[in-house]
Amino acid sequence: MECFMCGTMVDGEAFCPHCGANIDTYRGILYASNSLYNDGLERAKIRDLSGAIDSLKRSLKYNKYHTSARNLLGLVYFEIGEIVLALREWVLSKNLQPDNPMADRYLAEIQNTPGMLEKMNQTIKKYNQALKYCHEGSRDMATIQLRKVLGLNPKFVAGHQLLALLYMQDHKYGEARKSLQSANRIDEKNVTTLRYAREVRERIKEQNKNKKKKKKEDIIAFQDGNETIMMPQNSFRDMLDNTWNSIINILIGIGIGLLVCFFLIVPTVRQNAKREAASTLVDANRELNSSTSSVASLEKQVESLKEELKKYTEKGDSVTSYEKLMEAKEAYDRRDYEAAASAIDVVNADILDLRGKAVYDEISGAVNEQRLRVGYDTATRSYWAKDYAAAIPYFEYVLGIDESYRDGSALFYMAESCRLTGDVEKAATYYTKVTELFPNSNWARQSAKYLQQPAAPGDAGGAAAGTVQ
Amino acid sequence: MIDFEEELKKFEPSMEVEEAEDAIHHQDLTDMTDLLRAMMEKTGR
Repeated sequence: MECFMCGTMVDGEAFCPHCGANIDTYRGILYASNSLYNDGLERAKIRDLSGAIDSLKRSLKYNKYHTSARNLLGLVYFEIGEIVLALREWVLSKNLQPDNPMADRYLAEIQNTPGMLEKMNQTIKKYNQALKYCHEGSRDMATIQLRKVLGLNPKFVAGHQLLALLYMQDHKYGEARKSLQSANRIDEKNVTTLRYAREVRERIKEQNKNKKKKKKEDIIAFQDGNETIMMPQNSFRDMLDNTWNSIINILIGIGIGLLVCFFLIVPTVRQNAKREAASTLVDANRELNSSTSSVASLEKQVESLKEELKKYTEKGDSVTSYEKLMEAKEAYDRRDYEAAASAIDVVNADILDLRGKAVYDEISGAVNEQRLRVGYDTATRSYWAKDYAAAIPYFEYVLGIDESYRDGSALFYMAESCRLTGDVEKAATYYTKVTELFPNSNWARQSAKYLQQPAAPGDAGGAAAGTVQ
Repeated sequence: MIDFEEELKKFEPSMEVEEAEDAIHHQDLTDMTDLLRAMMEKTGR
């Protein structure tokens, strides 16, 4: 070994032959350092990490150049989640002993694992934040933060211990025990962990005692004559737990269910069915009414269509119309107006072409003229024969075709016929028409006179002032 | 019976990576050998 003062090689001497330094004392220091290192190593092997830290720190206090002790201390720190402390020890170890392959390996491992250092640093920051929350009294926030921390770094003993402390404060002893168990799996002899664990055990024991006491209190005792009877005071839950009682309860439940079904559900269902039937009936009646009215309207439509059809069926179709037109033309040419009239009535003028229409108009005009003339002659003959009632229909026929026939004479004689048959109102209507349509005629003047002084019925002579043309 | 507040005082913030350099520089590395050496120098060996 070398002298700690001058570096001279010494063997078994008590003092350095070169500088006289006390080598025995130095040898004792190195011996103590080695012993403590061995102790630390043994403790680390049995996972007494806090004990190992203590021994290794003491070993390094004796001899700071004990590289193995420093490397092991770093490793133990790393194991309990204190990564910065681990890094510190390995860096120091490397500085104090440059030829240090173990420290090189540990440092390289951390540097070569991507994101590891950052992750560990985040964990530490979160833990510090949680500790801050604890000091500020925000235990819930601290608990949440610590759970995150332990999610990222499950080996962080201090985190487990703080979380356990928080759970204990909140009387969640079961969860505190779990947390302490996790811490204990990493560091088996940690004093804080063991102390908390004992406290938790005691609290849990107390809780169990209280439960038992409560159960004991549930037993009731009473006097029956000279005997004291003790029996458990079953709670409702206990009663439900009892098998027989459970069966009875189930049966009661079924019974109640059936009663509810019969008294509540069935009447409601029936009522709904009735309501539905009634509404269906109302709908059916409404539909019936609407269909009846639609039938009536359709019948009316059919009637009107029949009427229209009748008009068309009375008229000939295209072929028939032309045949009848030819027939009418032939009859007209031989002056047989009656035959021409009966033929022309069947012709449908709407379907004729221009030439046919011209022929139709010619024959129709001539036939109508003939009809008017015959009708008018018949009417006037009846009039002069004083058969006014017979004259009226002929005059009506003539006026139906041409109201201004013979420049108002047909109208005037119609009025006269009405007046002479005693129909004064109808006569006044026709007189008025004469004055309106032919105001400057002789018929108009006479009409005006009759309108002012209506003649008594039977006064035929005075009326025949005009000349029948 | 554990006193929460007292226990809480025992927990100290963990050292962050940014603080590592300072911690290394300010680490007291004095050991027994240093003390012995100092003592011997003082007493004139």
